[in-house]
Amino acid sequence: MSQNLFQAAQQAQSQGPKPLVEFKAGRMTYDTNTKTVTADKKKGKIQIVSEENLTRFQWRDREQNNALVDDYVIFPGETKWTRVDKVTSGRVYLLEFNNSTRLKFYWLQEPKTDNDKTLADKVNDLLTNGPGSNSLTQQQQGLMNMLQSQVSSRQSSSSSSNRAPLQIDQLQQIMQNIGMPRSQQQQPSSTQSTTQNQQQQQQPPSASGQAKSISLNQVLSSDAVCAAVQRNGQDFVEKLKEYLPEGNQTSVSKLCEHIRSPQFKQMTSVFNHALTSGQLEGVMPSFGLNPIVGNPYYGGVEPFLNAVQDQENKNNEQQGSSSSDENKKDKKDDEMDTSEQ
Amino acid sequence: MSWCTIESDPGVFTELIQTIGVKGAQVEELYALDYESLASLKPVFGLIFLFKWRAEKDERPVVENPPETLFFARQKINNACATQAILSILMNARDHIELGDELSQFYEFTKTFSADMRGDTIGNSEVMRTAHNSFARPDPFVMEEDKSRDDKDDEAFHFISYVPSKGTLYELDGLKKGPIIIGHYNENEDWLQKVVPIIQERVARYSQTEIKFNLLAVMGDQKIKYEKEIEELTKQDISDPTLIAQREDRLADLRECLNQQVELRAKWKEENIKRRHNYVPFLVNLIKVLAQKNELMPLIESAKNKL
Repeated sequence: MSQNLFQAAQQAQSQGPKPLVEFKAGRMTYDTNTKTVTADKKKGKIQIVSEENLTRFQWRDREQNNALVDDYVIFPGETKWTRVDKVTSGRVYLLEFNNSTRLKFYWLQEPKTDNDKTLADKVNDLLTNGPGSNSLTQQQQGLMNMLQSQVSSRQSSSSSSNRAPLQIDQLQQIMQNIGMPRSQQQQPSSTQSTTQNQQQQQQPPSASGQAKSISLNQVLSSDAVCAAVQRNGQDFVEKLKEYLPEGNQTSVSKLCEHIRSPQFKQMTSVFNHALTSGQLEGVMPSFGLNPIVGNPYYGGVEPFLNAVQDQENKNNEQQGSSSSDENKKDKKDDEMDTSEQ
Repeated sequence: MSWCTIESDPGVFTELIQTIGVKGAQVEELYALDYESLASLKPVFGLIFLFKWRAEKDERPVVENPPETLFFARQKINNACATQAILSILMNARDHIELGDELSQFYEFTKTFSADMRGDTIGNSEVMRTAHNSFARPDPFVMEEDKSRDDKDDEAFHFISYVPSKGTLYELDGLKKGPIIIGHYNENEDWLQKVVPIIQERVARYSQTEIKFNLLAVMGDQKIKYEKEIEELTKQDISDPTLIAQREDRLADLRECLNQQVELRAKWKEENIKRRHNYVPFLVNLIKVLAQKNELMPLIESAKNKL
């Protein structure tokens, strides 16, 4: 079911807007454990498109009816497109993100090399300046601000500062291990292991963190959630009973029954899918949340949950101050009562 | 006027046929396909074989002009194949159950129709569609899912019914031009005995492939069946102590079976309430309350640790 949803989204995207630039290129996979980059032989193409005021960098699979595989929202000046000169067995380019350690390698599949330089310049122009205009649209600026606050809050919330931008020397070491199809680079195993050791020390461990992400179903595992419900008891039930079919009849055990039901789990996975495929971007404000957490690239499950937590913290603070006001008022009332007596 | 996708579940189908007005029938999933287990459910009006559809070569001849007494309808609408498979069985069991006003009228109205026209008539039946669509999940995403499902026939599930009718065993597949004769039985013979090997053969064939399948049975209301038998046994006037002891044993068994049916119905009722419930507001507010109680972050952490 959720697969259908996904495929529909993909199908819709395969007839995306007219690209600003398009050329044939293949993907490369970067293995964070071995620090090697391997070319994928699949035929593909890179496109830069402008959609709803956002620039997107996309890779599509030419062997699969141009299915959309990579899709990155690009904010002007945030990314760089550079030729990896170190590799001579093929034309390898790197898409680098200033704000993250994410590295995406591609290799050109255009038959002729004549246009390489022009294409690279065009790509960099679009990545730096966006389509047409040199200045950010208001919306983009707004998104940028939201994004930056999102990133900084994420950084402060995680105890280790492992999101530092990648250093040039680390990059070079990774380059050494790039392998191309057909002409596999041969390296003495001893040197490889030493470079790997060095990299493992220097490489931030979170470089692979982006590939894995948690799903809502994993977070809301029924055992863990029911344990939380039981710890909090009736107070928890009171806050949620209006959203359940039993209404006032809801009890702790009834609540857990719903949490364990296949219907709730199914809904959670549908919601999870909608969230991670960007279908909920427009819905976020109705939850009182910033739409960016519904953006599949910047948002996702964890940012969404973090945003809910931030919002509740704020509410708590407000309630805390108002309830202390109430306390004062109560005291006053008490005093008045005593004075009347 | 579209028909939504509904879950293939005995509780859903049983409520569905009751909503249309059928009395004395229920749908259950079969987990064992031997004659004994099937016979314990008697009366069984028909079996439904449910599997993920794939293009399959089938050169068995179809009956071009089926007898008027056999109800066969071509499948003309998406998403209603399960409902249609069940309807076909009920229509052919009309001598044994109460069809109710709606289905009786429908049967009379389409009596002389071709299989194509019967299919169209089902598609246009508002009562059937409303009953069917009442099982739509009330969530905001289901619309998109339905759209994609319409485009993707290869993801569709297909339902085939097996019914006895006047001495002949038929396979009714709404995607075929007509019914297929799969065997014969004498009026005093049990049709189940004849159909079991045929379905077993099909199950064996599908077990070798990756194809998933389920079996459903449309049968007489089991609760009523046990209640009746208990009543009749209790009424019997016997004095022999051995016979009385035997009767008590049998009554205990029947009460146990009856109890299971009562529980099953309660379970179906609960599940159908959950199916119709929109869990989105609950989900979002559950997350909010977990956050308020400082339970959310530990849940995220433990999910991450399990990656």
